[in-house]
Parts: sequence; structure tokens; C-alpha cells
Amino acid sequence: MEEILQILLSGLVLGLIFSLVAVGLNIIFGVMDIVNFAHGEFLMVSMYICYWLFVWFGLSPLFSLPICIAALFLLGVGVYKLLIGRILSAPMLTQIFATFGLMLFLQNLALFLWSSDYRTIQDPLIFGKKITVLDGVFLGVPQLAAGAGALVITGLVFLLINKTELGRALRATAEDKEAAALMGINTDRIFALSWGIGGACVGAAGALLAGFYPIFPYVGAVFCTTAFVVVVLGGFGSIAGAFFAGIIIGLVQIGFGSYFPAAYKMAFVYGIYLLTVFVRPRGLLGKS
Amino acid sequence: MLRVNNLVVFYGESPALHGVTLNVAQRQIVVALGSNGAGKTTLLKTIASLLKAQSGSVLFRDQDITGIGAHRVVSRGIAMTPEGKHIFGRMSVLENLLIGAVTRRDPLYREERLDYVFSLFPRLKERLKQIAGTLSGGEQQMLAIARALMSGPKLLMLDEPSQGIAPLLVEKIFEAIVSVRDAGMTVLLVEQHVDEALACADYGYILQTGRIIARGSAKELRDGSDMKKMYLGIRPE
Ligand SMILES: Nc1ncnc2c1ncn2[C@@H]1O[C@H](COP(=O)(O)OP(=O)(O)O)[C@@H](O)[C@H]1O
Ligand SMILES: [Mg+2]
Repeated sequence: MEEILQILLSGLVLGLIFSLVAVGLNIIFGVMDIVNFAHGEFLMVSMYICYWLFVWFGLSPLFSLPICIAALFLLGVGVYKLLIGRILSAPMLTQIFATFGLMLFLQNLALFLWSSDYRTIQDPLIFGKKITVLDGVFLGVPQLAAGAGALVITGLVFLLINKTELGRALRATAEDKEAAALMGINTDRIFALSWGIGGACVGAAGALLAGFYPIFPYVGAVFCTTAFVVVVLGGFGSIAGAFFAGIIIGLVQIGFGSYFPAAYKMAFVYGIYLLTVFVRPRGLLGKS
Repeated sequence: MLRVNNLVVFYGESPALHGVTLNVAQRQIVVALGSNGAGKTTLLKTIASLLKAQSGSVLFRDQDITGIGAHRVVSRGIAMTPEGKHIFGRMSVLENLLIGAVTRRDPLYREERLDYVFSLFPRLKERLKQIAGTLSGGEQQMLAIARALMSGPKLLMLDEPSQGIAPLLVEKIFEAIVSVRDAGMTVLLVEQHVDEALACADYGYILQTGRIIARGSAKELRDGSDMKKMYLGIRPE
């Protein structure tokens, strides 16, 4: 019993982080119809920002969180302005290569600057501490902070998209760019903002993750491939879909990872991916 | 109010407009007629700055608005309902209308405009919370027009508002267009339904393969039925 609760709890935390990463991916895709293959590397950049802020200034990742959100918002906007905005009317393959190239560039830049070492942030504020949820069921404080933080931020993003004027303009642009422009929406600004918000989401996820997860140049690949599965399962473009799918995938990964050899857990995740593609290609909440 | 001078527009290598010149006087309904592929949509999209002109200019209220960007054209006071409606199908009717007012932040102004478009199309008020994609074709067209009116335009451009709509509703749409003009706005209408359009218009142009081949008051065009038949391939009546 305790074991199952423990698994559910860990799976939930991981799932909430997946959700946040996938929501960011989905905002960019929903508005632009472009898959950001460098999304995982955005996560990696955010984690390294936390790492160096901790090493240089002793700043806890919890306090680096707003800095990471702002920095990755700017990175997202910058990538749009310098790269994506210039190839909007280019063939899809060009756009894929552009974000794929960015992924390789950021990975190799991290390798060059910081080597392939695994690093951890042993923040005295939270590292290694845990709370007792029930007798025999524990949750690490960094994990608790990450799960709660991811939940709150995903909720805020959901409100931003669904309840604000800016969100309405984003949704309109996602649905019909030309009609949105005819309404007076500056679609170029909305494109830049979607990259900014998508970056901010993954920036937040990186900071939350940095408190308990190793940091290395390829860390983004680990999370981003899973985030793609989450997006497919939840439905392309659907924020709520990404949220629920993230939790499902988190639970599956931890659940199967606990009962089967660790190497198989990703097999189950990709199994879900294939099943979705065959049985319900539009995903749980995706628009047909 | 609107002056289009010698507009030339290409899609890649192929020309769609070869020097179109057209004037729209204030508080008039001006109609541009022409069969499929004549360049009507291209004309409206270029005025709206969705397309770039190769040469020529668009002047609105004596200001050059050629290629200033679609969102800026709206702020200058031109709204457009695109061909095929293009409402935001996943959003509610109310949200569609509010998107139409993105350039107008003042909540009081928005209330006023909402009241105005509901007086024009009472049906929309009944369906305020409905998801726009579930409206009938005619209702979607009403919504598309109402949405464009939310920005409080001085010039309303309509691209084939009668396309794919039940005949009974077509009449309603044209009544609404007349009422928009009578409320002091100017209308540039693009149509293939020649008779209905000329019945409500003040002035008209006839477009064929990217050129204006005739123009005149609506009455002159109505009477010159030979010309109509020649250039428009009109359905037998
Ligand atoms: N996106 C496009 N790409 C290439 N050619 C186009 C495009 N849109 C329209 N055309 C061509 O331009 C001409 C004018 O089209 P259009 O303005 O849509 O005419 P209309 O609205 O009067 O039916 C046609 O010959 C059409 O085939
Ligand atoms: Mg057309």
C-alpha cells in the first residue's frame, strides 16, 4: 500500500513537470504550427542558469525560478526574432531543420562551455530534506516544491490563455492567422509572445527540476522526447490535454519503472505514443 | 474616401491584378462584380494589407496605407470580412465579437458596439454563449460581419457575404449591408450575386481577369444588361 502511494506521489510530481514542459511546447505549436525541437535544450539552459546562480551567488533554485522564467521568455522571443520569424513562409522542412539545428547548437555549446559532467545543486535550503506524507510514504522537499510550483504555474498559464485578452488574441491567431490579422491583431507580436510564453514555461520547469535532478548537456533530450509523447497523447495544441497527459505519462514512467527494469520504462511511454497514434491520432483533448 | 490607384499584384510569377483603379465615396455602397478568379479577393486583401502590391497605391482618407500591415489598417478604420467567413470556430459568439474589438480597449465603447451589432443581428444575441463553429452558415456570416463592425470601422469591406447561404438569409445580409451604410459607414462589397448586389449598391465596378472593364452607377450597370451577360456569364433569370 505504502509502496503504491509512494509511486503515485513520485509519478505525480514528475508528471506535473512533464505537463509544464509540454504546455510550453504546445503553446508554440498551437500558435505557429512549428514544433520546437530545441525545447528540451531550453530546459537545459534554464537548469544551467540555476546551477551557476547557485555556484556563484548561493542562490537557491527556488529563488532563481523568476529569473529563469524571465531569461527563457527572452530566449524564446529572441529565437523567434532572430531565427523563426525569418523563415515563416519557408517550407516546413526548413523550419524543422531550424529548430533541430538550434537543438544541436545549444547542446554542443553546453558541452563546450560546461563539459559533459553531471552536476547537482545541493541547496542547503531544501536538498535531501523530505516530509512524511503518511507512515512510510515520503516526499522530498525539492520534489514537493517542484510539483506544487509546476501545478501553480500551469494553472496560471491556463488562466492567461483562456481568461485574458492576450490569451484570446493568442487563441484567435492559433485558429486563423489571417482572420486574426484582419481583426487588428499584430500577429508577429503574438508569434513572438508564444515563443516567449513557451520558453517561460520550460524555463520554470527547468528551475523546478534543478533542485533534485542532475544537470548535464543532454538533460533536455531526456525530458523533451517524453514531452513530445505527452503532446501527442494530450492532443496537439490543447493546454488541458497536455496537463492531463503529462500526469498520465509521469505515473506510467514511475509506475512501470518501479516494477520493471528501468530500461523498459521508456518502452512503455513510447508504447502509449504508438497506441495514441493508431487508436486516437488527435489525442485525448485535441481538435480533430 | 478610399482611392485605389493602378494596383498591380502578383502571386509569385503570375499576375492577379493588372493596374486596378477604383474610388469609393463616403457613405456609399460600392460593389466590385466579377466571376470566379477575376481578382476580387486579391483586391480586398491588398487593400487590407494582407497582400503586397507590386506597384500602385491605396489611399484612405488622403493617407497612404499601401502595405502598412493588416493590423494597422484596422486601426485606421477599415474592417473586412474575408471570403468564406473565417470566424473563430472554437470560440463562443461573444469571444468572436470581442476579438473584433481588439483595437478598441474601452469597455464602454465595446458595450455600445455590441448593442449596435445585436440591433443589426438579433439572432446573435440569442446565441452569445454558443460555440461559433456550431452556427449555421448564415449565422456565421452574420457573426463575421458583426465581428468586423466591432472595431467601429469607417469602411467595411465584404468578400462575397452571400456565398453558400440560404436564399432567405441572403436577403437579411443585404438588408444589413444597407443599414450599415445608412448608419453612416462606407461599404466596399465584392459579389457574384449581381442582381442582389446592384439592387442595394450605389456604384459599381466590373472586374475581369484582373482589370476593371466597366464602371458606373448601380442603375447604369443594372440597365446595361447586355454588358452584364457578356462579362459576368450571368445565370438565366
Ligand atoms: N494564393 C494564390 N496563389 C496563386 N494564385 C492565386 C492565389 N489566390 C488567387 N490566385 C489567382 O489569382 C487570380 C484572382 O483570384 P481571386 O482574387 O481569388 O479572384 P476572385 O476573388 O475574383 O474569385 C485567380 O487567377 C487565382 O487563380
Ligand atoms: Mg474571391
